[in-house]
Amino acid sequence: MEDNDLKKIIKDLDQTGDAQEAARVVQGHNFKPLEDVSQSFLSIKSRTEASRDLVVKILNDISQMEIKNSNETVLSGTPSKLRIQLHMGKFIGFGIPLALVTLVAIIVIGNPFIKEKSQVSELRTIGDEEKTVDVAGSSVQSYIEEEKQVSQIDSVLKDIQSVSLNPPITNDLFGAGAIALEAQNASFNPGLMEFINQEKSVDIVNASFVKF
Amino acid sequence: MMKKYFITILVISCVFSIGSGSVFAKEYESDNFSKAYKRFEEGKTNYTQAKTDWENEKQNDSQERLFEKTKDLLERSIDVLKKRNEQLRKRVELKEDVYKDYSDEIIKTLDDDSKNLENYLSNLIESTSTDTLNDVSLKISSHIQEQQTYLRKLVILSHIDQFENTTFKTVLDRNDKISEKIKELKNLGIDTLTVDILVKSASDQISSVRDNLNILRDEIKKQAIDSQKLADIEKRLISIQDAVKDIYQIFRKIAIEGNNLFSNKK
Repeated sequence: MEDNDLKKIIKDLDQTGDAQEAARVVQGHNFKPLEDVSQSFLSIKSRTEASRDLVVKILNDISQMEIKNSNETVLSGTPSKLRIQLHMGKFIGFGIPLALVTLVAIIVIGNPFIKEKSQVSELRTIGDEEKTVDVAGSSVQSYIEEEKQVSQIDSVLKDIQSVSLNPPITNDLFGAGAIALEAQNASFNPGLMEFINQEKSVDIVNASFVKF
Repeated sequence: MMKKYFITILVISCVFSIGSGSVFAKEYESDNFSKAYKRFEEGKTNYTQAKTDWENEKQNDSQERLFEKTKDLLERSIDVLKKRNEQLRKRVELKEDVYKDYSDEIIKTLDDDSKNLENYLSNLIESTSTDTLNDVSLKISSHIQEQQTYLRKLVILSHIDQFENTTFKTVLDRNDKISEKIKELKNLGIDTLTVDILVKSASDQISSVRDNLNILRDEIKKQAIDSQKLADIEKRLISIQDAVKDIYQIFRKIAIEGNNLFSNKK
């Protein structure tokens, strides 16, 4: 006898109120756990509401027991793949958040992208500097300033070339390479010269504030 | 269930945003500076046009039109100053490494100035006679002389400090390293006379740069900074830069000579 059959019996009993009829149907299905109970149902003579409710309750309880038993039976004989499917809810509920938290912990503690981040940051800084240079290039004075800087860089490049053109030195005790690199940065921040040129142009505007 | 996912995703987002936040912020500031600089340049173009219109109008007899053109010229002038403040503010925010301790004071000065300029602009718009125009104009002239000198001092001094703490400090460190290496050569019994002469020359240049930086700093603190002074400062800054480059030329010679001495000994 299946759970659906029990439900059908309960539904019919609910509609007809005939506990004896329900008992006969149960017996007809030859359902062993209900044999004793169905005998008791047959002994109920009256069609009172109390007796009907009692039968419904008993059948419902049996139905729940049956569902539980059938689940256990299914589980006991289920291959591991199906077991995983049955436990999928637990996996989704706890496993995935746990995995994500572990990933976050790795990122926070290990910071595996630190090198890439610094490279990206460096590229962005170069981009920023270039943007600033682009903007500054919009004025003629800034253009002249840039040209001056380019000529300074040229001179540094010549220095580096002259160092490399010298007879090969097997050692660099005095840090010739580092000196050539440091020489490239031996200037004020370009922003200062830009500011001075800017202020000169502002002074032209200032001259407008006179007595007319 | 959804709540768990939401919290997890939120935590991950926070972790990534901490890492990339500063990069995005810097890019945002850079864009803001570019936009502000462009507005400043546009303001100057508008000012030039207004000045041309005003000069043309002076040739005519209409006093009423000349009044309007004068008013327009002054409005454009105030607009340039406001936009200059705006872009300078963005520049300071973008270059924290340069302005450091000065940045708060510079930004405060710029904000105060912008408020004052806004008030002057209101007075100007309300002006109905040449007398009131003149009055506003002279007030602005007096205000900007004082304000601009103070602001220029802050900006230039912050750059001088930054140069001294980075570039010039690197020069001093390099000089120290060279002195140590020469000691090593001497300990090996190598005659270092040729490099000693170069080291003396570099040390003299270093002292000269240090003195020039200090003199320039003191002058900037004491004097008003008008266009003439700005040109003078620019000339001296370039001279200091050239002197530092000369020092590096000497360092280069020392390195070549010193490395040769060491190689020959080996």
